[in-house]
Amino acid sequence: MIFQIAHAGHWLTSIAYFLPVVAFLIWLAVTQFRERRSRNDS
Amino acid sequence: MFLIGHGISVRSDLPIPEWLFGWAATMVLVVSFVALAVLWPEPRLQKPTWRPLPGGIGRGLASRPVEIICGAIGIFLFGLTIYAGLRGTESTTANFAPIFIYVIFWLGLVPLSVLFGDVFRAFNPWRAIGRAVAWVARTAGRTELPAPLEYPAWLGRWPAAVGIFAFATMELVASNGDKPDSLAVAALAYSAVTFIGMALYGVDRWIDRGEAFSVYFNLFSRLSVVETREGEVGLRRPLSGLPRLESLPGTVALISVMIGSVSFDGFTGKRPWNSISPDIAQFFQDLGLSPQNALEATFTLGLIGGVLFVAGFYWLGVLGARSVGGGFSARRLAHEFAHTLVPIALAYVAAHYFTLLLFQGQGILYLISDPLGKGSDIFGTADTQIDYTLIGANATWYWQVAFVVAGHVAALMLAHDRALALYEDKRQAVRSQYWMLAVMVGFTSLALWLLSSANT
Repeated sequence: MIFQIAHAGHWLTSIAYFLPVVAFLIWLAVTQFRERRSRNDS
Repeated sequence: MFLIGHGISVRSDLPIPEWLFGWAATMVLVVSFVALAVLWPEPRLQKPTWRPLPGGIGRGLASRPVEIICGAIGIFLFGLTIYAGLRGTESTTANFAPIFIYVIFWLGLVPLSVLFGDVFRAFNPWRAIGRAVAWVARTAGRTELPAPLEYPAWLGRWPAAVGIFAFATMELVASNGDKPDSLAVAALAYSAVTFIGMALYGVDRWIDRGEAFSVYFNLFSRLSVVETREGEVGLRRPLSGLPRLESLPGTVALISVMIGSVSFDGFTGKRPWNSISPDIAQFFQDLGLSPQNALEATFTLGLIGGVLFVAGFYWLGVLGARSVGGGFSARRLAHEFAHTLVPIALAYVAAHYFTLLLFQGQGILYLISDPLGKGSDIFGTADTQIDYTLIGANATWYWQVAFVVAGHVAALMLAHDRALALYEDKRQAVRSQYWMLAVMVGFTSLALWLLSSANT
């Protein structure tokens, strides 16, 4: 079976530019969530 | 098996893919952030430092005769621009007005402001005319002029934000925005608004807060080590001019317009915009607009979207910073950190337009000999050709990346310094800056994506 994705090269490259932002925001959100949980637990 | 349609067009011979430059830029920002947290424990930029140029040079440069000469040059160039726009050829590239307004004035004054301070204030034709008229009225009437109205506090820098947005609309949206006569008429209309503003609120107050270009170039001049203070030119510590930026309503909006309009200009060359804009234009046409008006409405919508996106992303960082505590309202934080966006705005302008300035700026050489585009050769330079070999595509890309990274590192430094001054707890100050770092990384990635050949 062949999956043909037109223009995927363009989109993948574009996504690559924004991966650091997304990764950073996820890391920030997770860190803040964990800190809040540990504060509530204590 | 996946077949990926179309190749990815890249600049030739780059040692790594373009997107990897974005990742490297992010790494530079993260390393800078850590270095600031460790090596910069106390605020250093908040206190004003300034010393005059030695030997009376500072007083000479800011003296009344120099001010009059600079003002006269500004008025002459303004008059020439209007005259060329109204009486010269309709060709955009052969007429003095479009190249002077969009390239020499709009782009060329940015590096001059960063290098030499608030240059535009000295050459500002509206300020010069306003001060001259006030002087004549005072002298002829032999009395003091009536005191101007008090500038409303709520107005802040909003008139400047609206003015820069209007200019961006003229440049990026209006179908006749590059026509010499349209530009001349727009400049005259803007002059009328400026003179009314100066008459109501006083020349210097309107220039400081309301006159769009004065406020715009003044923001960039705050990055300069050169500052004129109380009639004397002097030097200050690098970056120490921006923390003294008065927190006024409309400042975030103004800088969002500055970054958002450049972003939108880059975005119009991208595939997503070119895919969606015809549908939006069709929607406006279905509402009864002509094809040209529909296209202008579409681009206006895009421009507004770009500005809102930039403002929204900044506010996301502000709300994140608020969430770490400290008891500050989001509005207070937004104002306190607004000045950190100025080096980002500079990075965007420099990276996006420096080749335009480098290449089209050369056009002024033939235009000074033939400003109307009607065949004159006043200085013998009318046959000068633009040299497009000054810089190659790869070198351009390296410079663009350098501008973007340098601007965002400067922004990080400013934000870190302000956080240290604002928060009592240093740890909280650094933690609040995680979110500002996210904002910087976001703007860096956006800038490099817009500049790249991805999705074009």
